[in-house]
Amino acid sequence: MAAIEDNPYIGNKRYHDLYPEMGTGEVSTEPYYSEEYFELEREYLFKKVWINACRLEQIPKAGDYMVKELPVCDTSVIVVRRKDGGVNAFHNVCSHRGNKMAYEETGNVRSFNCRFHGWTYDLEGDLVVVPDEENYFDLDKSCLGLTPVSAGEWQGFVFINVDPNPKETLSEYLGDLAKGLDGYPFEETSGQVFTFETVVDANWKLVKDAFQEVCHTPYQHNRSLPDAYISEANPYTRFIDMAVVGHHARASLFGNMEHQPSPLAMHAYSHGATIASASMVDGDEVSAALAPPGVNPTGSSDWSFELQVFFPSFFLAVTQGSYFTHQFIPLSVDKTHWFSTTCFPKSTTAAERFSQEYGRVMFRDIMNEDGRQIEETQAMLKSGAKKTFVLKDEELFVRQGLWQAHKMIVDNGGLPE
Amino acid sequence: MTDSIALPNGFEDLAEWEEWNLGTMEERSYKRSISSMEDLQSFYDAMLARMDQILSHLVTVPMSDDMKPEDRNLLNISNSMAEVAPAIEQFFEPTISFGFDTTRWEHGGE
Repeated sequence: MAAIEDNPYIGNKRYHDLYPEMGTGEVSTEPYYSEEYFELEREYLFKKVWINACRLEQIPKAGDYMVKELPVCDTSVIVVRRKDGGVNAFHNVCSHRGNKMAYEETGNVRSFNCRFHGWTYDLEGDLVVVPDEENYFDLDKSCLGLTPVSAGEWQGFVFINVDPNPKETLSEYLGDLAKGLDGYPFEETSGQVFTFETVVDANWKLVKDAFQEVCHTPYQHNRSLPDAYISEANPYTRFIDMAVVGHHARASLFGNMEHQPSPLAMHAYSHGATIASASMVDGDEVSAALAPPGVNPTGSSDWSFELQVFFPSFFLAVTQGSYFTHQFIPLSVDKTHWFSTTCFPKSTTAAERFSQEYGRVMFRDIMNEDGRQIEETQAMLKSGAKKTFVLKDEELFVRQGLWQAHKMIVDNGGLPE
Repeated sequence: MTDSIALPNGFEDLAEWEEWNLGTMEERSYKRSISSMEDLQSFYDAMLARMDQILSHLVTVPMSDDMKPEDRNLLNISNSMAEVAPAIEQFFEPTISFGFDTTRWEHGGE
């Protein structure tokens, strides 16, 4: 074991020193249960930011569409593939008398037809057919298309913004965080995508907080991950490196290269990428996963995952041969729609499919260890017994998330400076 | 055993575990959640002893929609082994005490 002064995982270096504007004090728990604060987040945060909607592979052909339900933005958004390969997004509402256009979560259409009176729109959102058109008064179809929602794409991830005039383009919003991942083989690694979806009884930030620090690993995951992310040198599972990047955050996750996989894990690892172990990173060859500049930027030999936290609530963690995502969409102040994926290259053999299943199961079981704590914490916050959270340096992103949300609400005019 | 499920040559004996021939994570995780540790351990022990052999076969089977039924059944039972293993190797109980109710997930991408 290295001496303490040489050990990057026990030293006194403090990431908080780099962000003096965020302070180091205790943080109020009020934003986690206040109905009033939630309404501010709705109006001045979620209605102003870029939100991940889907991946291009989910809508591969012209006319393929997905519906992204965004109750926190008081809307539902249709994301559709155009004939020229691009993507359009629209509020999911008819111009005639406001009916919801697409009831299904996903589908393929040549045009969107309203079930109510048959108004029909093409993939550009233009109104093309109005039955009994002569019976309306001075109808100008050219002014009555579907209401557009800003849409943009980065590395196959489609983002939408319901602000009619977004302050930043998607590229500006994602900023350097996205640039750091350019070159990761997302398309190839999205051949086999397993999805998870549930509703959890907790504030969206509380769910998010459980995934933006890993120092709970030795405790909350002491059974699922007893040694994969813990070592003698790093007993508290500290990050290798962490940074705030624009509105967002990124961290390099430590992995214990001496980790001893379980008997079945050994079988799984021998037939492809799984997602649950750190030691699958092949140190002997620099793979495409490790090529982007934002992946393991310190060049650590202990690296396992690169975690990206896209504000407000989209997580992207990449490693060699797989990546996973989380997204947390609020339903109310204490209810959150939780979406996750584990993503792999398309399995070519049945053995590889088994290997992916093992990673998928472990990923879910690890989330199950988190899910209960999230709901129990939310329930206890209601007691009012604790008005603040006490944060350590490794919990910088918990602080940054609260700070960034508050800043955005202020910047958008929801709260005074 | 004439009614038992089809399995590839050399794996016919695994028909004993046909109750684990389940095609979705929803089915597999539910069965794990209602099984006793004794039953999970028996399945795990029997499967672990054969995993080298099973994977040597499955690696020769291309993933496709028209996979032969006997290969599909062997993959399903192997995926059930992936589901059951953490209960034996990590948690020492069928589901996770103090954990999120696993039946609350909707799974996709099978």
